[in-house]
Amino acid sequence: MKSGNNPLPKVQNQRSKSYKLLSFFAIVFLSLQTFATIHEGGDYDAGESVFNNNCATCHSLDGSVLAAPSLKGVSGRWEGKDELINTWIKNPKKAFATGDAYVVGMANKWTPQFGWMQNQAVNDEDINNVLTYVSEYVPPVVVSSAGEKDWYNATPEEAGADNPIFWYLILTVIFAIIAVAASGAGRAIGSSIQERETGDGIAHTSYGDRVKSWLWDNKAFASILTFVIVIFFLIPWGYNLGMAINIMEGHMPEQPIAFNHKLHAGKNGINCEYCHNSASKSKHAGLPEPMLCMNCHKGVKKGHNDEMTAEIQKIYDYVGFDPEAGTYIADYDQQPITWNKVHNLPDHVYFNHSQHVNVAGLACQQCHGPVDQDYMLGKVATSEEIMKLAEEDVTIISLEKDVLTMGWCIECHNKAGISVMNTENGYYQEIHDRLIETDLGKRDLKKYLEDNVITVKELGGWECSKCHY
Amino acid sequence: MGVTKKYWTGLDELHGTEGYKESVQNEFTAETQAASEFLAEESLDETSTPRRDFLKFMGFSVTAATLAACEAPVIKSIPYINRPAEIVPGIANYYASTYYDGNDYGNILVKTREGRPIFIKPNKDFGEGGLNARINSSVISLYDEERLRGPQMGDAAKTWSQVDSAIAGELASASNIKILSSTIISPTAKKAVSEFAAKHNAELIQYDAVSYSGLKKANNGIIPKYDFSKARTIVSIAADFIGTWLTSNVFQTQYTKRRQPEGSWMSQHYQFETNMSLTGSNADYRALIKPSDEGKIAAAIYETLTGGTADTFEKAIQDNLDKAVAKLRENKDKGASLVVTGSNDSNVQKIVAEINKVLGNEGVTVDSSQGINFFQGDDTKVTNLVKEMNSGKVGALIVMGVNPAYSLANAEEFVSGLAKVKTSISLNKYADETGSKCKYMCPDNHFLESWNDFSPYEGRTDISQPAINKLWSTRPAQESLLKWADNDMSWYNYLRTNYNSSYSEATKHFDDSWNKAVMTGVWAGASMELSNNSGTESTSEGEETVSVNNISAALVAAKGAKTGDWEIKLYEKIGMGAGDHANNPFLQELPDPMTKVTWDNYITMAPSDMRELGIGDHIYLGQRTFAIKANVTVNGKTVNLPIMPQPGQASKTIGIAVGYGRGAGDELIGRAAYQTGEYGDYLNAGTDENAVRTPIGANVFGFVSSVAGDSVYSNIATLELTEEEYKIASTQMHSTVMGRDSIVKETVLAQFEKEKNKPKGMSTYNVMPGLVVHEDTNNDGVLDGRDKSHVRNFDLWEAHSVEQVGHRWGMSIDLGSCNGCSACVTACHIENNVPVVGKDEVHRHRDMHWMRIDRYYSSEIKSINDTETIEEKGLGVIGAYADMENPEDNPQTVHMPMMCQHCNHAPCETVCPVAATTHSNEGLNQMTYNRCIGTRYCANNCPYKVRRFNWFNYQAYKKFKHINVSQQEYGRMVLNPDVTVRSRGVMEKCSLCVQRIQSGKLEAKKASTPVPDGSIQTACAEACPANAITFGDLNDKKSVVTQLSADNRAYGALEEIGVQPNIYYQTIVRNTEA
Repeated sequence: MKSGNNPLPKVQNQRSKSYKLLSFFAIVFLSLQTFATIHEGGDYDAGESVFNNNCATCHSLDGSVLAAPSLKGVSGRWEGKDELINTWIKNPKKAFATGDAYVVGMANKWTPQFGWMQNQAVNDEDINNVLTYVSEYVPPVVVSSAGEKDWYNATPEEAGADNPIFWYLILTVIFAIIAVAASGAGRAIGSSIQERETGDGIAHTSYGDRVKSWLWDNKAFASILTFVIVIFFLIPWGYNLGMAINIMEGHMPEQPIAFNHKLHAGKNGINCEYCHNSASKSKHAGLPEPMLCMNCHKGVKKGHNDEMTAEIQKIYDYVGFDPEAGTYIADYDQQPITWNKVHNLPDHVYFNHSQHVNVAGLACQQCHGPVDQDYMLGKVATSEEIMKLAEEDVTIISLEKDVLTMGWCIECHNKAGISVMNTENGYYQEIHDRLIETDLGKRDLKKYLEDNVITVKELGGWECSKCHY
Repeated sequence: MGVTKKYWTGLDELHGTEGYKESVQNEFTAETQAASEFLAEESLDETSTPRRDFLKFMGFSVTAATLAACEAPVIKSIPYINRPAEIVPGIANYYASTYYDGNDYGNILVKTREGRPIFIKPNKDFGEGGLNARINSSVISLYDEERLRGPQMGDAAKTWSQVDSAIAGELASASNIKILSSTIISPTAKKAVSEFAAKHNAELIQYDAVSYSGLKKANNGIIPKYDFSKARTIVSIAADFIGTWLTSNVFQTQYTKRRQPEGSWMSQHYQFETNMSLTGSNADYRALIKPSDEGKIAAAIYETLTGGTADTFEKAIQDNLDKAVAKLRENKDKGASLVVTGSNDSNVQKIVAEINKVLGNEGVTVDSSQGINFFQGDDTKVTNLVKEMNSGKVGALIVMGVNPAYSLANAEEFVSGLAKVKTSISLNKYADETGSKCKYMCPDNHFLESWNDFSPYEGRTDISQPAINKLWSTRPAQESLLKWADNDMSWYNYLRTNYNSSYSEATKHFDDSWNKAVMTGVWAGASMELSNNSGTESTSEGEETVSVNNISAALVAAKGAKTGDWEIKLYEKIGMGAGDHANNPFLQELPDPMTKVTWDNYITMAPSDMRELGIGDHIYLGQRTFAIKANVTVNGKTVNLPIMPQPGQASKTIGIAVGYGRGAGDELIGRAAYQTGEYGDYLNAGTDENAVRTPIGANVFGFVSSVAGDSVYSNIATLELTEEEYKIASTQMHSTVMGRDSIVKETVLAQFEKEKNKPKGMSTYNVMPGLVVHEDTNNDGVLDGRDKSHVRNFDLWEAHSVEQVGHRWGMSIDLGSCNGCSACVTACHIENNVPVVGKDEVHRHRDMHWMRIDRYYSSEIKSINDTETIEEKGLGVIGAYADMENPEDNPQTVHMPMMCQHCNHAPCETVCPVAATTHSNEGLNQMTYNRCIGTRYCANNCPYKVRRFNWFNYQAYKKFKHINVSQQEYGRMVLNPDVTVRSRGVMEKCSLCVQRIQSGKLEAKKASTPVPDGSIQTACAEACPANAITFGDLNDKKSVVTQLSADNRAYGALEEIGVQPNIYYQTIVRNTEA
């Protein structure tokens, strides 16, 4: 049961245009106000990069508290203490030891809740740049919510009416009408000519009969035409249609939390296995449990914008955490997060993450694509994405088949090599040693090494019972 | 939050109209349904359906199916809120625990996946003995939906506090309170019972469904501990010690240790029995006796050994008796023999105890000073209790883990007495025959949900831990008793306190020894005394446990056993035991090791007797030849059962198994416990208002006779044939190997000793199958018919390198060790999600068993070359072949586990039109279900007939709704998530547990080591209590299986056809003279 005395912020879905406009002017007005700054003349862009890499996780610029006080107006608060702030950033406890009243007061206010700031490995120039960036920072103006969508929605665009088949169909229908009309007209003319000449019109026959008789007269042509149509059009068309069933590249169902992989894995550089921590142990990569999210989000309470903060709040709603008090709510009815499974392997397919991650040492990107660069919610990448990635990164194997089809799996098993010859893995070493013991084995090994690589396929990676049992 | 896009398929969905909501619930639209109804119309069944209509419907169904299949279902993925550290999704955890149900006892490891117990295997590191089929398939019962889900008062569900206060009130005013329990071997439970007994002045009466009180009486109140591994000569008088007698799973492991001819010595086993028991089928010498002769045989052995004058028997028995006694004499005073009897007649047991003393076995193979704690039930006390209940003197009765209303010989009297008890409480897990007649039902937890401790004998204490949180609102029986004794401690805390007096819930002091005990399943600290001080002393008419002291009186009594025209011997079946497992479909479908019959009990009778009775036509039962039913009357009670021919049954005797006929009053004891008909509905059910479900078989506990107060499982019977025919579902119809010596090879010990050093294939009993070649292979300088080359050297195809390339998985099965106990069969089926198909399907030979145990009897004509016997019988060639199918009256038996042989030249692979069955480079014959189109060519071409066609959608088709676990909401949780649940229309068969091979290899790769020998075990090899099955890598030169495959005794079944199986068998060596 959610406790009543905890007014959890509601997710904001809509904002009125006038409110946005008002806030826009307010921000512009505030940022134009001149503070007496302690540092001046730093590089704004360099400061932004240092800030994002070192400070942004705990310090905000909009006055909100993430895991430390906001840096908004920091220059005003530290006015005249240029040296001290440099000391504080590099070694907070040293600055505290100076006994400066502001520093002591600030430390006493914030350290009980968040602990001491880590000593930052930055030089004075970096600090100057950051403070310049902080002072001159102008929040990005959100023009419309469509702009924000990029962060949240990587849903592929739907195939529109620009499908060529659609136009072919329309053309075919037009041609058919013209053909029928022309034939009707030709027949009417022919009939009237004949009538004029002989007094009798052409005997009335239906189109069907005439087609039949024409086909009968041109048997060889009709059979060849039919044959060609069936072999070259109908069969490939049906085959492709059949093969396309249930291929769901880029499928991304709606999820309860709009988790952002680009932010976490890319920008924040969190290792994939921190959250998907059974990927190297088990067949399942594992979904992070909300309590794992709380390892960080106990401190990181605010996102870069209200929408992201609202997403973080959803975790708190699941586990019963009061972000303001910084404590868990007693006797809260915690709920698991019900994700929508993105990919469903059929029952008869066995796939093991640890075999690929741990033993083969594949990068997650091999199948999941540019998770850290491009998208929000997890999925297996599309084949275009994998091929593109393979161009940039030599460790990624370029795979052309539709992802999550058996063709895709065995394509990789045919290309990926195994390092049997080295002694890194005792298992493969043993297999190699056995192979060179017999003549037949030596023959096999020679065959394997024709292309200078022992592929997964050559060690049985194409065999049915590797994946089907 | 950003804009949430919403997709909809129509305005109905967008506005969420009622019509849309309804349509969402229906997977198929109304049109599809109308069409399927139309298709189901009866007129369409007629053959006059025009071809065009057929094509129309076919086109329609293909389109409909395609459209329906296109919709991808939405599946949820739900992570834990806070993942327990020990659980990694996708990786199994094993918990050491202990199984005890009053009859069977075993140290087990429970495999759990994502918190669900799915498999039970023996705790080989810390346990004693293996597990039998009953124990390893008991995991199914956890998910039985007919288990009580909470306390009840009559039919009304109550809360625990409601029943507790009501019971407390009634107990406070009740006088003469009795607890009727199965034998309690838990020291802490005994303490809890004592606490309750002290509080309420109650008495504990222990009762075993199958009694051993006679054995106990004969040994001064102790059930001796036997050790079969030290006995060079074993004489068993009707004791089925491998199958069901006492701690049979431990005995089996001990016994098979000494049945290998390679050891320093091999034991010799004599069996004197009535029915063809599993133990008898493994004996070297077996004699057929009537039940009334059991005492006489024992007396004869005793008298001969002590120099007295013994009775003589007919020649066949006397020969065996003389040999046995001679052997016993040989081992006299060496403590190297063992005589046991399965009789519960205290006089017979007394004689046997004396024989062991005379032979000097005491202290070596028999330990009657300490004994075991099982089966402490006292038949006399139970009889008195029933009398007291009927006279209205019992104020309250608590029934705990026993089912006397089913298993007592005088069950009707018990039921009438129960009605006179004011307060009756059942702690059983089911509303069973007894529970449903009690006023209160306070269900106990399942053993996989419970903490417990057990003391099988003094000096050993095992711990049982829960492997899952309780599924329903049940409560440990011990906790209920404590609660009613005003002790509010939880059962777990009580147990912990008993082991660590400093433990309290507040301090939660965990000590190392407790954790270690929970981890290993064995308490290593000071062993717990199992106090026999259970409540007040017996208040009944002072009938103390009587022990038989007088051997001469015993001899007289034993010799004077009643005889009759027909004598009946009751026995327990491997699957059903005493009847506790009636709800377990895996055990119901487990073929009896001897008759191979599933889902039934029956009268076993010698074929010669059947001919005499004029029902000789019903000896060969088949799909169209049914069994004849007969009425058997004993003690004025009659049952009507079919007659099953059983070679090896003593003449003029019949055998019937107890443990059947459960739920005759339509009690809720489990859905699989009742007979189902052709379309899956219960027989009789639904025919009218009062129709009840029909139990499987009939209950014959009423046939138990009483000798000196003890239940004895034989009696005098009258038999009356009826005209009625009855279908019996048996998985094996033929009886003998028909002279095909290359399936089963056997020899005798003396011959083996002579030739044991010859290389494989060169001994007389294991001849290498070869083909004549134009090469001087025997180096005699002449090219003739003796120049042979091993059949393995011939190839139709290009040589496929198997030796030393990667792995080659293989197996060796020692036919000498295999006792046929069938533990491997159930283990295999649970591991591999093999469907249960029910009696009707088994009768149609559509059983799905991936692993079966073929049982072959010997026939008088061993082979077609046995001209002497053929002439003697005056038979021609055809007649000889026909006669070879006849087993002898007292045949020798072979149990041969048979599963896919993973042939290197597999005939099945070459005939598959879609390459659904192919050969892996690791030697496996692999089956790809998603490719299989069900032509069944492979099954036709398989020489071993091990391929199984999946005829139905067993997970959904109504025919299997009551018997197939995967059709039950909870039952399907037992399915192994690593193995595909096969769908209809595919062929399936043993995969050599490829899921285990793959995971074992993966573990090795992760650990960067070669696969250690023995680290990968198939389910059958792991389950075998006799260690008859060895699995491993044949390309690993040091592996055990490689050595066994090159052994003198090793051969491949039907090797001469050149399929090169990867499964090896070891020739049977019998410790007989010829």
